[in-house]
Amino acid sequence: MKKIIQDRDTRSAAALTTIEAAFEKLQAEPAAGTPAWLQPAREMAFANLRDAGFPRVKDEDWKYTNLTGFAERSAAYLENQPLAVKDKTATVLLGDLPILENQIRIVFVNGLYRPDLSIAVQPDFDLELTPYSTADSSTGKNILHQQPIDHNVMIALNTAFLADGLAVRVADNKKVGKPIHVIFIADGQPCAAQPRLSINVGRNAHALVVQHHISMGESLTNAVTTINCAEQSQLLFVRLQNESEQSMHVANQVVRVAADSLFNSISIDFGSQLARNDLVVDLCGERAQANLYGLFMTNGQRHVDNHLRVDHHAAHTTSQEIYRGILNDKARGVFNGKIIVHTGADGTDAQMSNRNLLLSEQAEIDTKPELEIYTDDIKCAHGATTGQLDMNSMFYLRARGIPEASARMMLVSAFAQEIIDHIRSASPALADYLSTQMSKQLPDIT
Amino acid sequence: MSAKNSEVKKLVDKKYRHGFVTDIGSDTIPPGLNEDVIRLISHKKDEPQFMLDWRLKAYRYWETLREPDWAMLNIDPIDYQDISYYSAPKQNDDGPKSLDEVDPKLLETYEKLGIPLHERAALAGVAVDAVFDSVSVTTTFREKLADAGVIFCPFSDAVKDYPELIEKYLGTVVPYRDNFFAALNSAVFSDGSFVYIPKGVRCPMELSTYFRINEAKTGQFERTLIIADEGSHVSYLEGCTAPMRDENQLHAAVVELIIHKEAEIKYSTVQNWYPGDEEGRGGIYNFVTKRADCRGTNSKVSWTQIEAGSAITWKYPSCVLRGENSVGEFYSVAVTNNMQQADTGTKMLHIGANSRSTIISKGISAGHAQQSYRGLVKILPTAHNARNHTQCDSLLMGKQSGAHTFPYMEIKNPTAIVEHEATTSKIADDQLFYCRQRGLSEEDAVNMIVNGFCKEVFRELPMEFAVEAQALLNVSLEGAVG
Amino acid sequence: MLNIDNLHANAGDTEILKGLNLSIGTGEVHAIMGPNGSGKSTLAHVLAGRDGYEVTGGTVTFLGTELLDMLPEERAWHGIFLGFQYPIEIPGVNNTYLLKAALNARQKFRGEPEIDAAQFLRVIKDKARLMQMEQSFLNRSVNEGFSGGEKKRNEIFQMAVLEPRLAILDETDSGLDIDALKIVAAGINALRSEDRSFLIVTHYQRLLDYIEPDFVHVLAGGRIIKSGDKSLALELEAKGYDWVLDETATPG
Repeated sequence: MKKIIQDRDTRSAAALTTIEAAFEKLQAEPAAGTPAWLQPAREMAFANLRDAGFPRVKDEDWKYTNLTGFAERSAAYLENQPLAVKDKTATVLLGDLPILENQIRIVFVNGLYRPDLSIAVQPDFDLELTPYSTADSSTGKNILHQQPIDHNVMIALNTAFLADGLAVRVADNKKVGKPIHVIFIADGQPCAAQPRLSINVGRNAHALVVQHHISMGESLTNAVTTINCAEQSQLLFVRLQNESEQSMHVANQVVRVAADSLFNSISIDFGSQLARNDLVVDLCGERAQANLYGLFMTNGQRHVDNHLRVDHHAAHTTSQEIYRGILNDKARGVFNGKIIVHTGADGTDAQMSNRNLLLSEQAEIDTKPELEIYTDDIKCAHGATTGQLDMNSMFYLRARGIPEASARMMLVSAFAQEIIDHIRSASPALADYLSTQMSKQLPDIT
Repeated sequence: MSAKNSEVKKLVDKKYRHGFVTDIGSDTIPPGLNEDVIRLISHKKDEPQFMLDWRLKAYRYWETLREPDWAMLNIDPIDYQDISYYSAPKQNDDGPKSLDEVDPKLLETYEKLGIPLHERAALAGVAVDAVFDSVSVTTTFREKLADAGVIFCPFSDAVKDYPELIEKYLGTVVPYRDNFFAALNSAVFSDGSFVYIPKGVRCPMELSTYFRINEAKTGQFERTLIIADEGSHVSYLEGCTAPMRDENQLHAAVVELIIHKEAEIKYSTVQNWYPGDEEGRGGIYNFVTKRADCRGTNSKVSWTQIEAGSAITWKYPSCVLRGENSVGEFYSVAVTNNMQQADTGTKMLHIGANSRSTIISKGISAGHAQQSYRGLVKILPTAHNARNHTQCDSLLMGKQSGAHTFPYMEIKNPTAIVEHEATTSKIADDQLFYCRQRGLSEEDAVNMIVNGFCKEVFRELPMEFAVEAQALLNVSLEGAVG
Repeated sequence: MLNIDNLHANAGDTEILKGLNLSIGTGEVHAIMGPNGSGKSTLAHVLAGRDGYEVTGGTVTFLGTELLDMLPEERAWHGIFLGFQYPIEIPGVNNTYLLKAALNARQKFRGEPEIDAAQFLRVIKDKARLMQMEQSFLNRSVNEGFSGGEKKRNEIFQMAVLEPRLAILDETDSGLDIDALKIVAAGINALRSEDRSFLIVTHYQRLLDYIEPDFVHVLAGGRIIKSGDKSLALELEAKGYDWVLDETATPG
């Protein structure tokens, strides 16, 4: 066992050496179209990545997820650094996606903005959608301002090889009720995509942003999203990862929520061979609120890991985390939710729940709902349950004449649907799409 | 409506009640740890060669280790060379004696602690092994127990009298390679209790061990081994106290329980080591490895712990549920006040089919204290239909207090059902006001609510100790409200 | 027995009681009625000494002693009982145990010996019968898992055991069906006596069909704006509160 662990760490270190060479080569001859204003941030981030190295098995945050394969694929793809060749894959993948209510669709392929695939955005002073590659230096610096560059090593890796991204800015008091659909495609070319999305919601503004990942083949994605919700704002953020079953996907979302604002997030993982998602929410101002919902469904020998961390910094902040997992075959799911209530965050109310269904002999779930509480005037609770489908419900359905297989599917579908339903009122089109995607998975899953 | 501060103050000033020192001549070896010290301990105990070999292996392994740092504890560095690893009251270094030969000062000490050692004065139905620093002073009711076939004696006697049992079982549940403190204990442990319950015997009395640290600059490293053979049953209790001193003292114990087919061990702890003063000076560092191995079908173990003392508590009594239908239970009340820190919980390792476990943990943190629940529930692929239910509640009393919960659940069998619930809150103002409106003082109201909060755990204690535990809880929280 | 003189009290920054006057004689039953938000519950809580209210003016004397200086438990020892509108659940604390501890705390305050256990058991059994409570309720945790009606019955049961001088019953009728209401009212009536007074806080006249008050007061805007006998309650029921509010409205 010890040997295996050492071996993994050695391989990750070797991958990092290759990545370092790739980085130096890229610094010497930057790819065409990469904004120059990204340069200083990239250098700083890389220095941090080099010092810290890839997560090791003994890092508590990576206890259940082995990133060695991801590091090696990153190294192999970055070493080659092919220019993205435009082919039909992206178009084919896009063909399956719905057009959401307000017709805004911004498409990135292998991390780069593709105006040809995007649906035209009317210039609007209150809602700015700025691809990094089109931003001039002063806009760019503004975009980078307040963004974490090297919050953790995966964010550092993203920054170091960052070539493009999207900045969404919703002006004060602007209410964008309908979804802004941002689609990141990894088309399966040996390319280490480093998607980046930054969202700023102004005071008393409302918005709905969908970050949607799809891919073909052995894609590699390391996505970073930064979100700032100003006072009294409301944001519904949907992250949908429906990549290929051979993809490797790491994603980070770093969220700051100011006083009296509301951040709702719905995070869904259907795809990937290896998926790891870190959602970090800071409730910075009084009465800030976050509701985080999540659903992961996986089968085969796939692995999906959701890490949540919510920091209550201010008084009367509330958070609710509801995550559900469904695992079949030899799949492995990981849930780690951490709520930290800091000194001074009196009147905090935090509730976390994780429920999991294990549908096969060899599926596995590792769940760890944590609380760290440093003041007394609070109300916190968490719960986790893992089991099979409820036998009584199964019996009830079968007694009504429903065959066992259908009954299983019905119950699993209902279990998943409860998470998806949180999207319905904001975007029926997206909810329908998700329900369909979920149903497509069901025969494999159940 | 603020509390009457003077009342609260009065209560705060009540101190740790077991903090006295017994003035008795002792044979204490100089501080320091090396192979010679281990040879000396083994020699003093007149141990067979296999014990010395085992101790030395443990020591050599320990030298390669570093202290674990994953617990949520702030610990001043421990100088392992500044501790004396053996201390015994003078008259007592050549084997067991009858009670008449025990130094009256020792008897008086235990009397003061509420543990009379004269059998006629003793608690009815409770046999006591009294461990003072590194040695067992006496064990009561040995003959009566022997009549039932039960062996209850100091560990050092067992090594000499039942070497085959020791060799067969020692280190099979907690190997010396288990962790830093288990390795240290394996190298230097001096005494503790040994219990063997033969097949089909229901132990006729409660067994208990009373641990007392007395000498300054010593550590206590006891080792307890309990074997419940097929179809047997035993209830065992340990209590712990120490004098008030300004420096920290180390206590690193190992407890191994082996439960065969159809057997049951109920193991209760009332831990009241000196917790240090209000500023966090002094107190015991309590690092304990406790594990039960449910080897047979239908075997059962139940851990109940009331953790009220110690400056630092690092302790995770665990259950290895190997047998089919085996049952593991963990009931815990941990109270930390002032500057105390505790990182405690349990591990439930489900291997056998239909194995079941229950975890009920109640944490109360007051003053500046920090407390963590850390638990692991692991269901292996073989554990079909395994069940776990965990309830883990924390009560906070004071703006500077902290309560943390780190439950790990690793589930590799789909037929298992694992449920975890946890809550953290402060004592509800509404509840306090309700009790006070009915005429209870604030202090009494707090005690009543806290005791209610802990009731599920107290219920698991043997009757004789439930009352003591409740009183201890009240004392530990004195001054926590205001 | 109780004298409230020009009582002002805030909850947070909001002034709720704005110069309330009320005098309750020994053995009298007073009903306080008023629209929602008029300060009825605040009055009950301030009298019992609940946190979260600040008395900014006025005095309250109870049996000749200044009440507002006392801790909640001291008020209880002097004979004040508050029947809660929402009785709290206290997990793990046995109902009987609470009562015994409460009685003994009062005995201690009076310098009297602890009550005899056997006698205590007889008393609570009698009182439980009065409230038609099953024996099992006595051994359950305080209000835990009780229905709304059971909680209210438990409040009156506790009152019966503690035998206060002044019982303040805060919306005791809310959430009760007619049968439960009758039981609760019968319990209260059984406890009426020459040396015990009642302050019944209620929104509806319904409870007063069963408990006949000596005086009825209308509380609005933090003051008693009208007092009368039991016929006032009937009038309020028929005409609503607007009628009194209009009648007593002062220009400007």
